[in-house]
Amino acid sequence: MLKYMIKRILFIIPSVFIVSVLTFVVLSLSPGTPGQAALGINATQEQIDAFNHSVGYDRPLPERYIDYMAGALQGDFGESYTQHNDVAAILIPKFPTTLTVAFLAVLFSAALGIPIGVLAALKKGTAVDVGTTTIALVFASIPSFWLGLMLMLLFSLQLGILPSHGIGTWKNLVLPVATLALPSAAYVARMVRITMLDEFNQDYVRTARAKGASENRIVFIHVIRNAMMPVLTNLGMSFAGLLGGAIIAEQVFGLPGFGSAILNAINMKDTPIVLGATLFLSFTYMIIMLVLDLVNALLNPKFRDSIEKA
Amino acid sequence: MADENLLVIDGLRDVLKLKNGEAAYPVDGVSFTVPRSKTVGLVGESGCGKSMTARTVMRILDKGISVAEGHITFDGEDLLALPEPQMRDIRGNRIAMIFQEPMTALNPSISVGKQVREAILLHEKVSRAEAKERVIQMFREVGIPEADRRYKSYPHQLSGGLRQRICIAMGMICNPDLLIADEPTTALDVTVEAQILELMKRLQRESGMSILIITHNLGVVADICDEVNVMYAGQIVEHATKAEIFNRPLHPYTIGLMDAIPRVNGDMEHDLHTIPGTVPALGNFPEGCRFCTRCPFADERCRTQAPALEDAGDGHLVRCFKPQEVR
Repeated sequence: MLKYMIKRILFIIPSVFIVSVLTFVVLSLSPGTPGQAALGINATQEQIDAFNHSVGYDRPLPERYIDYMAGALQGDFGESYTQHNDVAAILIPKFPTTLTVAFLAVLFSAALGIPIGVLAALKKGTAVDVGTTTIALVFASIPSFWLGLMLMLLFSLQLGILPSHGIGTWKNLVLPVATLALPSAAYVARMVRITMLDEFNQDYVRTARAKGASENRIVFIHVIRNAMMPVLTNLGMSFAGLLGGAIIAEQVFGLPGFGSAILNAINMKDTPIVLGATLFLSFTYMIIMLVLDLVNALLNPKFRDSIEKA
Repeated sequence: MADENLLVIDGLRDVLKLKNGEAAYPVDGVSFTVPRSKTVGLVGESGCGKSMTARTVMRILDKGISVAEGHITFDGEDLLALPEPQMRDIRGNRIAMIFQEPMTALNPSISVGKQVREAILLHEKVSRAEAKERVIQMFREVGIPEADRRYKSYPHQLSGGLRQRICIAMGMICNPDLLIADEPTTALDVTVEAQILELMKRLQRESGMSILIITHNLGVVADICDEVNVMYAGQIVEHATKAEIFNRPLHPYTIGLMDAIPRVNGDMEHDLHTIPGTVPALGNFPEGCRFCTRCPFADERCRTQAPALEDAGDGHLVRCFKPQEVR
């Protein structure tokens, strides 16, 4: 197990390397330079060149990359082209907002999706099942930017009970979290329903019944444990996805998070910020995946054995 | 109250509601008994209704299937009339069941020891530690090596034979009066099969329980049974003691099954005998005798009238118009 974990942690190194190269190259290939973006269309070519030279953008790509990575490995992620501040100093204060929104969104999608999925599976074929499955299908199909705007229209403008913009109180988080959590909960509910129904057809359920176990015991002791394995993996992956996906919610509700920082930096060709944020997100993603594997190993003896042997 | 028969099934008829609103009867008027401390075989091809008959006794039928007629009496009690909580007290406690697929019959994410222990904790008021001791003791009894260590094993870590021993331990742990074994050895190697049958016989000698064994294998019948019921298309077509059925098989279907057993000293010139055709589909049984489409002796009467299960002497029952002509 320890060996497996060490191997997994070592794998993070080449992965982060690949992510950094890809991000660096893609940003350099896109048209425009930081000087153009920062100084606007009225700037002269000399002014632009001088700006690019001052931030070191006029050097060849490999040189810039090596320079950047040398700094990054020592914990220095460079200075923003446009904000005259350390990338770390700009990004770190923004991360808690993004993390909070993503974490709450996953929490609520699980708290909402799992019970609904279980209920639908237990009441398969009844009005409860058809009703919840239909509602889940609708929510899973709604694009989140539209859902965000509709929620804002209803709760901020019509009813006036929740703020539409900004940050500060818990009320500011309700709409962004709902925007991300509702489609995710719908997806979780559908998945839980399917895995539960699948587990119900397994032979071990019949064995438990023949043993004299009650239907409740079969559901909550025998079936849920097996049905939750794929669901947990999925929740972890959607948490990682929501970290990046928060861009939309942060943009719609004017939250000063990672997402809006990345978006602004891309527009400004502010390579150090985009790179810093991308590396940080991909690193977080890999840590989440690692934790997921641990949880999975805890729940699933077969998986535990397979990594022990490997 | 000491009835000679532990289990009496009388005129049992299971109904399956089909999608088109029609009803089919996968178990159609089955009657037989299981005497105390005896082993009774229920024999037939796949789909003849033998497993469903057993599951009806346990009342663990799939959704959509229910009992239309008949009675099941267990130790003087009408099982079909029992409320579900009382039935749960009987399941796994006084009537235990083991299944064909030891590979999938156990929960993959709970240790085998805990799964067997659950049966005790469901039915008896004992401490967990005490229950665990009993499980380990039962593991030893059913021939599981290193029983202490195996308690913590998960199903995927064990061989098929060991898993079936675990299932048998689970069935035996509450000292049942009746053990229903649904093809317990079908998924196992022949050598393991012999060991498992031997184990069941030994446990029966020691505990005095009755066994209802479901199988398509007459070799298993010859090994373990006292009495045999042959089922075809939802009905019993022949019933006799083991000696009777092997010495004087009367129904053409039973004879077909026997000819289908490979013999070491048999006639090597000829191919293995098979019964032509397959079991007719549910709800699509022929008029008259249900076996008439596959029977080499069928005539006009067989195709139009349904024969009844009749005594051919000494309690040997057969559902056939011309059992004497056979052979």
